[in-house]
Amino acid sequence: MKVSKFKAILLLLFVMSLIAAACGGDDDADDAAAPSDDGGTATTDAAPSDDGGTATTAAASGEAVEIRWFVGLGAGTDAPVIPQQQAIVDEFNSTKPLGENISLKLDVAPDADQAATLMQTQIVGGNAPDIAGPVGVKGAAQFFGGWLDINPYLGDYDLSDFDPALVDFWNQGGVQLGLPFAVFPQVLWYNQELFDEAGLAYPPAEFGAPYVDADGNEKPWDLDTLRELAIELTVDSSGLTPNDDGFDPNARVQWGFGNMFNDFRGNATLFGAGNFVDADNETCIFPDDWKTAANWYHDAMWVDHFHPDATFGDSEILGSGNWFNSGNIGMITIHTWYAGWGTADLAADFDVAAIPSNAGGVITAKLHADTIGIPKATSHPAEAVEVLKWMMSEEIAPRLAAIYGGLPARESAQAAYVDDPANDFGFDWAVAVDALSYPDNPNHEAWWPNYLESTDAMNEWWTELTNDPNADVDAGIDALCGLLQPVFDRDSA
Amino acid sequence: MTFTDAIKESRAGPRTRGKMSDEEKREAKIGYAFISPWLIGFLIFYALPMVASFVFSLMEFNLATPEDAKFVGLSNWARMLFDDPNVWQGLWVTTRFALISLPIGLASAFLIAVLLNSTNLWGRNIFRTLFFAPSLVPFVAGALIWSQVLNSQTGWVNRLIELFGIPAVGIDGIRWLDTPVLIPFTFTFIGIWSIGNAILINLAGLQGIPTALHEAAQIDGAGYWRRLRTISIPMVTPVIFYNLVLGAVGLLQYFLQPYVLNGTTGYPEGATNFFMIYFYKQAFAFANMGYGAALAWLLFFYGLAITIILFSTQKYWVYYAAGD
Amino acid sequence: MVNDTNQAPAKEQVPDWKRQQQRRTILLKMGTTALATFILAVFLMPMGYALVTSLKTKQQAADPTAPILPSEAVTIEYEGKEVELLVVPIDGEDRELAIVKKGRQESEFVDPDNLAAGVIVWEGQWRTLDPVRQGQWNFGNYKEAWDFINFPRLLFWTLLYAFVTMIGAVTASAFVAYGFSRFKFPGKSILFIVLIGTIILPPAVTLIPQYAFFSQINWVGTWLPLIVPMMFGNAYNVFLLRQYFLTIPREMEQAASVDGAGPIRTFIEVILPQAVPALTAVSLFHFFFTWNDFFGPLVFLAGNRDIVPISVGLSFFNGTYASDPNLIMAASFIALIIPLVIFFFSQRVFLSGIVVSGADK
Repeated sequence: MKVSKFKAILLLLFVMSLIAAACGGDDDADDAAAPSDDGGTATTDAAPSDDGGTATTAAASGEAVEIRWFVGLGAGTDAPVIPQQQAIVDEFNSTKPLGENISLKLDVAPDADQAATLMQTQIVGGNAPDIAGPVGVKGAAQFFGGWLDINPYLGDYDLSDFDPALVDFWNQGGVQLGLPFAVFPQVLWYNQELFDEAGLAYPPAEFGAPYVDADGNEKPWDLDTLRELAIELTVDSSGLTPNDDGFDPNARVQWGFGNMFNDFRGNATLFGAGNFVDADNETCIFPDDWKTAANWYHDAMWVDHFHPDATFGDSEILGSGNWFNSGNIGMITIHTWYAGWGTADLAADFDVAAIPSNAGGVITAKLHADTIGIPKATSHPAEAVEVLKWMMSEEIAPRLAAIYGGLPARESAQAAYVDDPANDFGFDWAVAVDALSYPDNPNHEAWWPNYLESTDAMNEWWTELTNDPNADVDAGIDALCGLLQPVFDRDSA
Repeated sequence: MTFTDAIKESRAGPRTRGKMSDEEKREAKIGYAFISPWLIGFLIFYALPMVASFVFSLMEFNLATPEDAKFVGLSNWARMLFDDPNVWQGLWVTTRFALISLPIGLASAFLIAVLLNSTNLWGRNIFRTLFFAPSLVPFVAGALIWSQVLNSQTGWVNRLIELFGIPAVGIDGIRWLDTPVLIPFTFTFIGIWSIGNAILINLAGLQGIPTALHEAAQIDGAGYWRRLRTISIPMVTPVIFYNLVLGAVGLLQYFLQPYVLNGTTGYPEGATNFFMIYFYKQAFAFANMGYGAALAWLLFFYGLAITIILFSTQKYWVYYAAGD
Repeated sequence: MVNDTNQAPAKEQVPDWKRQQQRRTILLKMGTTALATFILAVFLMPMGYALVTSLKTKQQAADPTAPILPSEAVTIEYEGKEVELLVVPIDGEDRELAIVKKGRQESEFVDPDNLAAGVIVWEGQWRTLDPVRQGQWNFGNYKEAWDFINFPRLLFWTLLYAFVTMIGAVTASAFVAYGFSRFKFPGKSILFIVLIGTIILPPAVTLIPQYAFFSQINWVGTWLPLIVPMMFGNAYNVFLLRQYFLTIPREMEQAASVDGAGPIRTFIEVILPQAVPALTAVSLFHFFFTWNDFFGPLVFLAGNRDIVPISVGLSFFNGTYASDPNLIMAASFIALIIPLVIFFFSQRVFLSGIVVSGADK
C-alpha cells in the first residue's frame, strides 16, 4: 500500500497548492481587497489628509471605489425605512458629491442578530463593510476595538454644531468612532381613547408641569401619579380595575403603563440616571433610585397588575411585543424612533407627554444618540470617512435623522426640522425637544467593564426576577453585585 | 465494520497491510475510487476550515479585531475545563434534553411512518404530505407560532387543555416556557412537530422491505404485530440507526428553538442553557471566537465519543442484510 | 396489512366469508384513518393557529374578546367616527346599538336604525356586553406579502439551488456510500469517522474560515460556495445512503460479477434500481434541506440581494415586518405551497419503489 499512500500525499499536496495558488493569485491581483495584516490606518495607502479633502485617496488616482454601507446593527431594517435609505444612496450616486470614482451601495441585513454575525464574518473574512450604522451603544460594543478612529481624518471638520457631550459620548477609550447624527429622546405616549373611556384627564405635555385631573385638582406629575393613572387604566374582561373587588388579573384586557423595549438599566433610568459601576469604573454598586425601581416594576407587574409581564407582553393581545400598537395599553415610555412604524396599526388617537419625575422631583428622559461608524478593517478608510462626512452634513444628516425618527443632532437644524410638515408623525415634536433638556447622565447604555458579558449577566438576573411573581426583590437586589463583580473583574484581566 | 474494529485495525497496523493479497489491493483501489469524490471535496472545502477552527481554539481571537489575535496555547481549554461552570451546566442541560427527546422523537417518527405506510389508511398521500408540512415552515415563523400557541395566558394549547376541565390558563396555570422541569418536554413537543424528515427516512426504509418477506410470513400465519416485530422493525434498524446517530448529533447542537423562544439568558433558572447557546454567546455575541472554538471542539469530542459508542452497539441490534 | 382469518373455509361459505372480511377491512380502514386523523389534528394544531392568524388583521389579533376565527365588530359611522355595535339589554329586550361614548359607569348609545331618536344612556359596564360580530377574512396579508416579496425570483434561485445540488450531491453521495458499504480498504473506518465528524463539529465554528477561503478566491456573493462543495457529496446523504445500501443483500452483485460486470456497471445496473425508494428519500431529504438552508446563503450571498433563495428572502421579510406576525404567517404559507406540492407528487415515485424492489425478489 505504500504506493497508494504516496499517491494520497501527492493528492493532498496538489490540493494544498491549488488553495495556495488561489489565495496567492488573489493577493497579487487585488491588493486592495485583501485585509492588511497590521490592520490600523497607518499602513493604508490613503493616509489621512489635513485638508479633509479627497486629494490623497485611492479614488482620486482614478480607481473606482464602491463604499458599502451596512445597515442592521441598530435601526434601518423596517419596511418603510429601506426605500428611504436607498433614496439617500441613489442621490449620492447620481450627484457624485465626492467625484466620479466613489459610489455608494446599500447593504441591509435581515435583523440585528444576523447583522452582527454577518459583519463579524465579513470583517474576519477580509470583506469588511466600509460604513456601518445606524448603531447604538450596544451594537457598537460588539465590535469593541474594531472601529476606525475618525479623529485623524476629521481635520478641521466643524464640530461646533454638535453638543460636545454627544460627540464625546462616541469617544471610546480615545477612539472617536463616529459622530452623533440623530438624537432620540424618550417621551411618554398615551392612548387618548382609553383615557376618555376611564374619564381621566390627559398627562401634561410640558416638562415639569403638574398633572391636572378631571376635576381640576393639581398633582405633581411624578411616578406616583403615573401609577395611580395606570391602575385606573388597567381593566379585566368584566370592566373591573385592580382597585375593584373581584378583579381577575388573568382576564386582563387592558393595561395601564409599560416601559417598552428596555433592559433593566433602561427601565430603572425612569427613576434617575445611574449605573451599576462606581466612578472608579471597577466596583459594582446598586444606586438607591434603582432599588426603588426594581421593586416598583415588580409590583407593577404582580401586585398592581398595570404593567405587562413577559407572558402577556409577548401575546397578540399586546401586539406580540409592540404593546402600544395594539391599542390595549394606556401609556408607554419610548424613544422617538418609535414614531411612524410603531403606531402604524393603532386606530385610536394618541399623543405624547412629558416624562414624570421621580419622588425627589428629578425628571430623567433617557436619550439615544445613534452614530454611523467605520469598521477599521475597511479597505477604503479615507473614502469611507468622506462619505461619512457627507452623511453628517447639514443637508443630509437631518434627512437621515427623519428616516429613523430622530431629531437631528446638529442643533442648528432642529428648529427647521420640527416645523417641517414632512416630519409629522402625529405628535408635537416640541415635547421631544423639551425632553433633550433632561438627558440621563450617565447614559443608560453607558460603557461599563466587560460590556457585553456584564449586560448579559444583568439580563439574566432581571429576567429571572421579573418573571417570578413570588420573587424576593430585595434579596435579588442584594445578589446582583455578587454576580456582576466577577464579570467586571474579568475585564481588567 | 464498527469503530471498535477500526481501533483494532489501527492497532494491528502494518502487519495487516503487508499481508494484502492482489485481490484485496484491487478491492481497495475500487473502494478508494468510489469514495474519492467526497475525499477530494473534503480536502478542498472542509479540511482547512476544520484545522483552522482548531487553531482558533488555541488563540485569543476577537472577531471585531482579528488583527490582534494571538496564540495563547491551551489557556482557553484550561479555562473551559477547569474554570467555567457554564460549560458543565450546558453539557448537562443538553444531555438531559437529548435523553428525554431522542427516544420520544425516534419512537414517534417510526410509529407515524408505520401508520402512514399502512394499506388500511385512506388518502395516504395526503396524510404524508400534511405530516411533512410543519417541517417546511420557516423557523422564524415556527418560533412565532410556538411562542403564541404555548403562551400560558392566551395560547391555544392551554385553552384546549382547559376544555378537558384541567385548569391550565393563567399565572398559576401551565407555564410551558417558564417552568424549569417542563422545559425539556416543551422543546421535545416542538421538535416532534418538525419530525417530517425522520418520518420520511423511516418510510423509505419500510418501503424498501421486499414484499415477498411479508407474504412469506403471512403464509406462515404471522399476524400484523408479529410481522411488525419480526420483519419491519429489524429491516428498518439501519435507518433507525441513522436517525439515532443524526438525532443525537443534532440534539447536541440544539440551538435555534430555545434561542428564539427563550433568548440567551438561560431562563428559567438555567434550564435553557443549552451548550450551543453558550457557544453562540461566547463566539458571536461576545465576539470571543477563540474561546468559542474551544467550546465547539469540546462538543465535537463529546459528540464523537457518543457516536463511537452508538456505532459499537450496532452489532447487537442493527440488521444489515448485506452483512458488514 | 391483511387480517388473519382462517385461510381454508368451506367452499359453500365463501360469499358469506368474503362479505364478513370486507366488512372487517372497511372497519379496519375506518379505524386506521380515524386514528391518523386524530394524530394529524393534534399535529397540525399550531398550523391551524398560523392559518387563522394569517387571515387576521393586527387589530383583530389584538382583540382580547374575539373568537378564534377571524371576525370583526360590526361598526357604523357616527359623526365621522367608526363606532361598534353592541347587544344592549334594555327593558328586557336585547337591542343592537352603537356605542358612541364609552364610560366606566354608564355609556351612551344610538340606535343605528333610528339615529334621529338621539342618544340612549345605558348604566353599566359596556365591556360586559357582547359585540355584534361578522366574519371578516382578511386575505390582504397574502397580497401584501406577495407584493413585497418577489416570490418568482426567489423561487427561481431556490429551485436552481435545490435541483442542481440535489442531482450533484445525491449522485456523488451514492458513489461514496457504495464505496463505504461494499469495499474493504485500509483506513476505511478512520475515513468514515472523519465523514461523520464533519457533521459533529458545529458548522458555526468552521463558518468563518470557510468564508475567509471563499472570500480569497472571490466566490463570495455568488452561488459557487454553496453549490460546488455539494457536488462532491455530503456527509448526511452518504451516511443515509450507506445505511440503505447495507440493507440490500449481496447475492445479486455477486451474480452480476460472475457475469463479468465491473463494479461501476454492477452499481448502476444492480444496486441503483434496488435503491429507488432510498434515492427518492435522500433526494427529497436533500431538496428540503436546501429549501430550508438559510445560514449558508445568508452569509455567502450577502451583499447580493438579487440572487438570494426563499429562506433568506423570507428572513428579510420577517426582519422588516418583525412586529407583524400576521404578515409573517401569510408569507410562510405562500412559501410552503410549492415544496408541499412537490412532495405530494414525488410520492408517486415513492410508491412505485415498492413495486421495483418487490418484483425483483
